[in-house]
Amino acid sequence: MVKKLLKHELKYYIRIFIPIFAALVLFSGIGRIVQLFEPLFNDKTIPVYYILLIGTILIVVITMITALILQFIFSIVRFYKHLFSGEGYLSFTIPVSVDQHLFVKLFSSILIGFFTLLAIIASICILTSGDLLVELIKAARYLIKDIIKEGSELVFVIIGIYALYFLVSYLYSTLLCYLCIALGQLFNKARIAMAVVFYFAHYIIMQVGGMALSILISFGMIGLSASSDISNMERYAGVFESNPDLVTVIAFLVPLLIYIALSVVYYFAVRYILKNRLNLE
Amino acid sequence: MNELLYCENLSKKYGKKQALNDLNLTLYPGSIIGLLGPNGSGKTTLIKLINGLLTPTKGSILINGNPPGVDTKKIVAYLPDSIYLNRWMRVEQIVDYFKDFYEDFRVELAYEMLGKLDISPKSKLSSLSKGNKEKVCLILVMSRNASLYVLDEPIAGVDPAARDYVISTIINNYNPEASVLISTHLITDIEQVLDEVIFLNRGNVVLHKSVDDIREEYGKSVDELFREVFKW
Repeated sequence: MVKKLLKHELKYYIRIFIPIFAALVLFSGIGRIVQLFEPLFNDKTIPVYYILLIGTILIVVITMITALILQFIFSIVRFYKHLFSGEGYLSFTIPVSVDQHLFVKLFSSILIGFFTLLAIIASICILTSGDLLVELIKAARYLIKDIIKEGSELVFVIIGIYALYFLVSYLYSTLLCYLCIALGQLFNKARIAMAVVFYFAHYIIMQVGGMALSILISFGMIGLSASSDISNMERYAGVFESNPDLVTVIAFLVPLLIYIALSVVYYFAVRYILKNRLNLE
Repeated sequence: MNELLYCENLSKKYGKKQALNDLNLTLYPGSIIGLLGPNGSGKTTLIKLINGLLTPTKGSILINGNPPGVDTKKIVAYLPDSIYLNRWMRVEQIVDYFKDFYEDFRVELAYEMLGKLDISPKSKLSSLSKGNKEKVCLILVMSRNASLYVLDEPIAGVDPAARDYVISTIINNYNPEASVLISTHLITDIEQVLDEVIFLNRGNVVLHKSVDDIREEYGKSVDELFREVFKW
């Protein structure tokens, strides 16, 4: 059933994103073709060339940003329309469990996000194809070699944490929107407006909570430094000084764990609402 | 005979409003049942509970011995009272969707019925008239070889000529070993095909009898009895 759900989910996304990806490739191609005409311009006409080049690059960048934004928006719209609008009468009467619905929604959203990134990379490659692309690849190779030469043991851990952080924060944002929509549909009127209210209420709670937590940590640090055990503080500082990558790991690991914990809570909250508090129009 | 649908003390509350109140009901396979009642009597709530679209506040509901869930959705074919299909999809894509998710879906039968109505599988749902959209929904539901068909107001939005088509589609295509539960206000149009009727009022069953018994006991048609029971 998961395969079948995924097939129909991807059909929905393909219908929307193939034209967007095609536009991205097309504009990048036009940008590259414009570059090929550079030798035809002389000193007097070269500003025209730059206007054309900057114009096409601008269009490509705008299309890239639009693709990224639309990818997220459509994954949220899909969740709402497929499960809570009239379509929900079909979605919830096919022999599929709530977990399967949620898994496929999240997985397909990640998948289409991945394909959007691939389309953006392809677009950059087209725009810079030729000598510029070779130079970019060389620069990237030197950068990676330098990192490896420096012998930082944690560099790959950091790259892994970055990737995981990106993935988890994406899942967290998606699940937060799912939860707000699920809470909004509990009301009989103004469901979308209520979902927006929940989103902003959550934002305020997180901001206030975050601020309170940082104040508490600051007070804790002050308390620790004020205590007699200065040697311990110095020892901790020494560990961080000798290994600066550790700071990065900790700085990412803590919010990562918070995001994972909140994502799990949101997932089960959405699951509970879909199973026990479904309130289709 | 095995119970197809069994409701015991089934209650559903929306806030303070009691939609179903300790409802007890048993249905067996092999009959066409009219679910009749005035607006707000709880017909749609009962239908949604059967389909697992709502959870009961109290009591239990069993379909073929199972509470509503993945297993019961395999054997219940549901037609909601509004168009529930994705409007951007082509008819053939919707058929493909049903084929993928319902093992009992009869593709050939669906295309045969669509052909009789001159509805092209290539047409987009959004391009069809309201009446044809409703017919597509009905065709998809009746193309299933289900154990229980639950049809919520299947003839409410169609003209009298189309009502005959809808009724004949139901009669000619349902699995004879199954039961069909039809909720409607248009009793005269459907009375001829009903085996049993359930009168629902204020969330409770006030009458559950066979149509023959009603005619024999009360000397009235179902429509006449309905008007008498629910007279203002």
